[in-house]
Amino acid sequence: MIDVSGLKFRYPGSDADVVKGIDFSVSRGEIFGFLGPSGAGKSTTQKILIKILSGYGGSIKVEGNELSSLDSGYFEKIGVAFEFPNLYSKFTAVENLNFFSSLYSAKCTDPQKLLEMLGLEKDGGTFVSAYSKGMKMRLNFLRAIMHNPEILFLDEPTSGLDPANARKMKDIIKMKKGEGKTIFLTTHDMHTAEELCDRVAFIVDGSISLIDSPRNLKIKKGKKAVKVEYVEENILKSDSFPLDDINENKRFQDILKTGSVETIHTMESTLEDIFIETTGRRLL
Amino acid sequence: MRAISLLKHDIIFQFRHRFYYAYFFILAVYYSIITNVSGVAKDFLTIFILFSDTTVLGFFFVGGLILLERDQNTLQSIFVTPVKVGEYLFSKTVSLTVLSYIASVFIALVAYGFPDQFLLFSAGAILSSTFFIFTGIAIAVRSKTVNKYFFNAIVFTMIFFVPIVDFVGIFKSRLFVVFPTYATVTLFSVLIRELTFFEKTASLISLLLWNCGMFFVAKKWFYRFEILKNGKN
Repeated sequence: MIDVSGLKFRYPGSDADVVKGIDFSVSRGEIFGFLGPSGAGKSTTQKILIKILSGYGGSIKVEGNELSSLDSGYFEKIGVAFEFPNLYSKFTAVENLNFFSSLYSAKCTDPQKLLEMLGLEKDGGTFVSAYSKGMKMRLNFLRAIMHNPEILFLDEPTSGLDPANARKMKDIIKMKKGEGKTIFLTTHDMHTAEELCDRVAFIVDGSISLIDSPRNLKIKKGKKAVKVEYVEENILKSDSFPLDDINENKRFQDILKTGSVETIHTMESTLEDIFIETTGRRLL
Repeated sequence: MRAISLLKHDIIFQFRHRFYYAYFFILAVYYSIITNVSGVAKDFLTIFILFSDTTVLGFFFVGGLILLERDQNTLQSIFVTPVKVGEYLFSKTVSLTVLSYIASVFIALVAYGFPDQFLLFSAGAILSSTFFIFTGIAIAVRSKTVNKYFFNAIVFTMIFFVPIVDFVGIFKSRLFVVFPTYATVTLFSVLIRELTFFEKTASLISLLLWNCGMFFVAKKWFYRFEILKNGKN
């Protein structure tokens, strides 16, 4: 769906590239996570992909066509939810959705049905200026999906959301993937990336250091062991055991037999650990 | 269809941000001034109001609109839809030109009744308004803050207002004909005197040329400094 090779970008007036020759591809129906700290080049890459930055080096092909040669019809096929809500504050939620839907030639989803998807159905007639940040983020997301785009660009979609609404939004993103939509997710939230993405790319200082699925990364980079927390003589203790011979590990078997086990976990790395190990940088 | 949607949205946007209320109040003030003077003073005041206010209102309003939309971050969301820069500028220009034209006709009606050469007067009012709107767009996209916009706007209006010294007879020069506003004053003078064929033709051609040039600059700068700059932020 999207093939990027040797992508470079430099802002006018700057003497250094912000994006330094990156390569990646995103398949149809895939959720591709672009992970990196602030200033890594992930938002710049997204802005190039949504055509609000021009003059890139290298090649970007969308369905086989070079991005720079695509006309405004490209915008019929993409939906973009920016990190910060950008809505008309003196218009109601329904008015905002109706206005944006009138800009597309495709038939858009009914605003009321959209609002119901994220629990905003009772607030459709409220001016956006009276919305909380979380409500604006939900509306922002609904605006991005209302015309049923083939490619979704989501920048920190769950930022500022309470857990219940973050859950609903993640379910909608998964549903969109199920419908065959391609999703480009920019985030520094490893938990969201781990849960949603089929593959993730780590980007730091304008270069991609790694691309793989979260599961593969966790298995490859993780420690093959289990950590057991148990109570012995009224004291909480913990121990770890290698997975390779765990069925023959006498100490592990003994602890299980005591019936005093409180928790037991495999010790695979988190995406955040792997990011730090691979890039030497934290996700801030 | 998209252009109509944008236009409808712009009118509601301007209404909700109280642009119209503010201007109706100003018009009421002008009404009370014009209806209380007569003779040469009325001629001067009418042309001056038409030239310096009703025609120029789009210049200040369009800057306010762009700065408000920039503040609400809505420009980004508009330009990831199929909307083209030309459609966006068309909507702003038409909505503000209609307001400016209605205000100009109102002032003319209050001062002199229905103008004899209504079409010529209308052409002057509309072409002058669109020129100032394009100029306002070009200046707004180069101004990072409201204060900078108003500073730049005042500098530009002072330059474009130079031909007024010819109208009031302080200083006359043939060089003034290069100003688009010279054509504006000339065409508004149709309210108080007959214009020669040359004056009519030259004024219309001058305003048309200035409109074409300024539209080109506004469109180019809007894309370069507003859309691409948004990308950087």
